[in-house]
Amino acid sequence: MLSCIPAKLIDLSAQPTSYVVEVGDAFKASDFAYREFVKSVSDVFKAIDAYSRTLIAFRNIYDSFKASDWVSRGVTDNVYDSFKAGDYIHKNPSKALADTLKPIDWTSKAVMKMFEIQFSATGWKSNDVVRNFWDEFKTPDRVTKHPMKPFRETVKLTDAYNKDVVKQVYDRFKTPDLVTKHPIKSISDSFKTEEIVLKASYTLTGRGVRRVYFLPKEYEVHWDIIEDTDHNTNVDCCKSILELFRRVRDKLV
Amino acid sequence: MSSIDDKIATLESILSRMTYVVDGDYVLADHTNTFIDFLTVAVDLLDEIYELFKAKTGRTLPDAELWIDLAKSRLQFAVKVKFGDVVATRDHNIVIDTLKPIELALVAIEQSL
Repeated sequence: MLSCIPAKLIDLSAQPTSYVVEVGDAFKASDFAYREFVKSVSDVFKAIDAYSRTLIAFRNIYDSFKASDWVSRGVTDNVYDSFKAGDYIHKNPSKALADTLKPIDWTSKAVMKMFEIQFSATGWKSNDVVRNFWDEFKTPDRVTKHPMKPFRETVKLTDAYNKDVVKQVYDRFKTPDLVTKHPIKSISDSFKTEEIVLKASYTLTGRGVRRVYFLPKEYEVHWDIIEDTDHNTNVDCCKSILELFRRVRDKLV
Repeated sequence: MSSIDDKIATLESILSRMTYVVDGDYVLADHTNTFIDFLTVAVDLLDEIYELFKAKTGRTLPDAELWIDLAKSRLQFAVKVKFGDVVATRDHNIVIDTLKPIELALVAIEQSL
């Protein structure tokens, strides 16, 4: 009804009353992060060697006999060195990596035998020469000697055993990095709405009059109460209107 | 003209029934109904005066006609009340909303004379 009165023609004054309603809406997105990080495995190990060694040696060290004897001398050196270094390594780290390896073993063995042979000429001798000599040779030798003299033979067996087994397995692997990241999203959305209710008031026959409003319950604080002054102003306005009727009537007559 | 005088007399009679109130007084149904009686006669009187104006001057006042039609249409929303009815804001607003176009029309007619 208010809109039917052009404001330019009447002394209409509108008093805007604004109601601010704040609506806050905040939500948070679900965050998840999946992360696979760099795997660097450095695996250094040494194989432990297990070996068994059996050494069987037959040594004839002293032998004495007469000349013209046919001497058959046999020196049997059986050096039986057996060892087995077998490592069976099965490695199964976190990755599907089956690593079976056999260590590489190598053994170097040096056996030095020293024979000391002493001749003593007693009785007949073939060459009448007493000779002491040292004979040195290396095993594995099978020696068959036919000396003409009895002799004493001293054999010294020196075994040098050297074994180096170094096994070193260095395994390094790197998984490709896969990082999936969903950053945290925090969206806070707040907005304001504003409702404006115009409370109109205007002048009637030079007097200020107001319209009264009954608003929804949520705006109860803005409800208007019809005051006694509103009623009395209306009475005065009616009197003025009546007076205006009289004036127009008088002018028409 | 006698009809106009009669209506003015009626308005005077109605106006005499209007009373001033103070804070704490009862709001009576007669308060609202008296205003509606006043408006009913006033709109009728306004229409008659405008017809007289046209007859006297031979002119028409579009603005006045607009206000008169507006007063007539608004008067249709005026409802009399009785004891026990809730006093609504409509009862107050319809009085001033109808008086305003009556005033404007009368001013327009008066200024044209």
